[in-house]
Amino acid sequence: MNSQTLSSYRWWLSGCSALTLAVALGGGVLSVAGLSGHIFVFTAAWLLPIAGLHLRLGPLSAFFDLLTSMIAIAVAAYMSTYFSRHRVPRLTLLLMPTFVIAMLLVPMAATYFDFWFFWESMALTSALLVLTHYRDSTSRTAGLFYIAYTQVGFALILAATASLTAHSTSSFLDGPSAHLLPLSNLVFILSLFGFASKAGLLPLNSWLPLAHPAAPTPVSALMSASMVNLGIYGIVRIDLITPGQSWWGILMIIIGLSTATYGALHALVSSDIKRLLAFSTSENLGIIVTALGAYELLRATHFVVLAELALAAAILHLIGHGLFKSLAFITAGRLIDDAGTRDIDQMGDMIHRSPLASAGFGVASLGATGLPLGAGFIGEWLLLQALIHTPPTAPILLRVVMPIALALLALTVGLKVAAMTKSFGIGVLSRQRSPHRPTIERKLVAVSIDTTVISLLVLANLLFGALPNLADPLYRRVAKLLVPHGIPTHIGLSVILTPLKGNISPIVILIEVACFTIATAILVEGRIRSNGRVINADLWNCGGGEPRVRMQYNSTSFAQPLETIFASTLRLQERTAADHSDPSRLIVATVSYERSRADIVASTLHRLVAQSVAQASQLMRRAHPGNMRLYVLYGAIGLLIILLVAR
Amino acid sequence: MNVLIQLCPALLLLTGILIAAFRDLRVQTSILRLQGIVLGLLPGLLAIEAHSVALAIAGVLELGIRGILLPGLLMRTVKRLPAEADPAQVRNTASSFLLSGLLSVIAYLAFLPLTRATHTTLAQSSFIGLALIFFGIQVLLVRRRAVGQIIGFLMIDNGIDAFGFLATLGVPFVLELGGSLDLVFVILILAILTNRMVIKFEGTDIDDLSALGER
Repeated sequence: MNSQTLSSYRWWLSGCSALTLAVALGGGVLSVAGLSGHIFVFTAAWLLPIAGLHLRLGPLSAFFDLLTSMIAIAVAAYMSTYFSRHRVPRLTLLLMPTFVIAMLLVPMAATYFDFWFFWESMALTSALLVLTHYRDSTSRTAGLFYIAYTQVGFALILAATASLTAHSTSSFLDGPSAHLLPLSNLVFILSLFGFASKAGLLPLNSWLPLAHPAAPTPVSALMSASMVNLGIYGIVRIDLITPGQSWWGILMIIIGLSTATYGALHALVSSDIKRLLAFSTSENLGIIVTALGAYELLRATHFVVLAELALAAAILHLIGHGLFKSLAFITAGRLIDDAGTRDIDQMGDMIHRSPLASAGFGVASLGATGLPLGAGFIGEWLLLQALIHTPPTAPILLRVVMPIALALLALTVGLKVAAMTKSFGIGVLSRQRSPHRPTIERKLVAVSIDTTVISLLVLANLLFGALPNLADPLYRRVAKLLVPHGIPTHIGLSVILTPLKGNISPIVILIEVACFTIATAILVEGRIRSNGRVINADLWNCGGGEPRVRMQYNSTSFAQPLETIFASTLRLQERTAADHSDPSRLIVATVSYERSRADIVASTLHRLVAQSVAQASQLMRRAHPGNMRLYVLYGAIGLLIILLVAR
Repeated sequence: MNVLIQLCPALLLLTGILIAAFRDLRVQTSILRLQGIVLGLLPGLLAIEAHSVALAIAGVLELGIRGILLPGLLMRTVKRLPAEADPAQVRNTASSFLLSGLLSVIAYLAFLPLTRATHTTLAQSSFIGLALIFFGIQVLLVRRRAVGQIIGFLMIDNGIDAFGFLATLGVPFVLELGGSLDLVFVILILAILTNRMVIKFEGTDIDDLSALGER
């Protein structure tokens, strides 16, 4: 590569990053204004064919746009350093701002036609971005999977919204509601599954673990932290604005919790760090949909206080997930660059090799576990409260559904704590496994940009984890739209659920943990000092000597006990083969060990689709023997049918 | 004059049934020529009655293309073909008549709403156009030789044309011209295809054509 093309690439890259940043900042400013009460309406009938361009930025759209633009600002800064290390085609660079614009415009679309148009633009640009490394065959497979899933989802959305428009007088999204028509159940099912394919929910989630490792890291971050949110936006916008039926909520809880458990389980057994994060995304979106399902179910059964609690859980978890997932992907990108591999088993000692990224990844992992002080805590705690406070006077349906949901949620949290502990402990904190790679030379500008982005995101995560009341006004605007008559749950410094028993204050927990840590440190230090001296001696290890690097846990061995428990769900296959160097002598030269886990949902779904397509094509082949006169007969029968119908 | 005009649809129906029933290609082509002449006479007679120049031109055009040009082209092709028996599915003339009768009834029933809505005898006999289309399809289905297929196809087109005249007393002239010229091209291409088939397969049985090939 000569210096001229390199410098022109640099110009191109900085231009595209600046453009992305400008778009994101513009979106952020607009959405803050939208949240503060202004409603922006923009109409240009000549700009789009057929239906014209109609944009409207209400509170709900502004909330989702704010999430998108916050994440896009961080990614825009990060892409300038990432793409300077990894050269990509210029089209990819130009697609980044396009993708952000499309994501910002989806919630703003005021008519169904605009919604379809921007949704499809978003899908196409993201598909092209996934296909950045199109010369690589795994990338191509991932891209094709993604395109297939997203188009199936779009077809479902189209069917759902088209039947809505067919029955409504205007083609505007906030026109007469769907739920008055006899078709509303069908519309709900179609739109739920359609948006589920974008949000990464079962059964249409198997594109996530393929697309994220294949895409460049800034693209994964954008897709995983903000694009999936638009699936939730669709579900809220189309299905939840007006009250539905109680079984809708139950269906959403079933889909959400099965996705959450499945995602957490697969995150636990993945050793590819991006694949793990992709499954974690799927799992968190499952929790959000569970919360929305609980909201729908509780609203339909008239438990308004609990419904609002569930809604607060969904909204706060959306914010939290966006925060920790963007941080996780950006820091994981840095870790991958420094380790030279995506495999957690090959990483190790990253805490010394890239301290900032490791610390950031730690904060993000804490958020992803849903433990206190993490960004994902408050949402999950609120969901837990909504599920646990089902009164004994509730209908039997609630008293059956809620405890089961609670148990599954607890299982999910347990699994994901194990998964994130694995990714952080094995990948970052362990001893060095592979030989030391020379650290990549970075320019000062790149280092400072990365440092700023990661530090700001860490700060945002910690702030949100400690003081969720900062998001209270945001939540209040959205809740007012969805529950116009209720009193939204108050998210203050201390979250107190007034009519119910229960309160929590993350800042108090933070102070307690900090005090405890400092006290322990002082105690230990004092004890060491009082003993006078510290003797360094070998560990007592039965005379075995210093433990070697290969003796430490790796990701497979860490997950092995849980993996054995869930072996049937994971469809675990193990194969050990010994290779004899010389058949006549019984000496084993090498032993190979392989284990594979099938994505059971994806393989079942794909097999079903393949079988039905094969059967249909068999049928078609039988109808096409190649005889011309038979085709004439088909035409004649068709003509006769038309004549009889048209009479 | 009126009687002559009303005779035309009846003649069309009769020739249609006869074409479907006969198996000899020359006879079929001759009857098709008769049908084309009747189809040309119909607008001609209407033109004389209504003193319309446009209808008269349409009549002359119809007569030229459907009565003389197309059957002439077809007859040339037929004369060149080697003699071969048509391996038709329906060999029995009686069953062929029966099938035609059934199709006429279906056409009549399908057009019942239209027939009830109109008052002129001519418009009420517009179902004959559909019946001709059905006979054409019948020929397409039953005959296996390529020229038989062309005859069936021509009869379908005659049916469409007849329906146009009977129901509306003349479609716009440009439409008429366009449709007829299309037809001439289609017949030319089919005639060439038939000749190629004779060279390739030494026969014109279309059941030999069972798959699309690429070269």
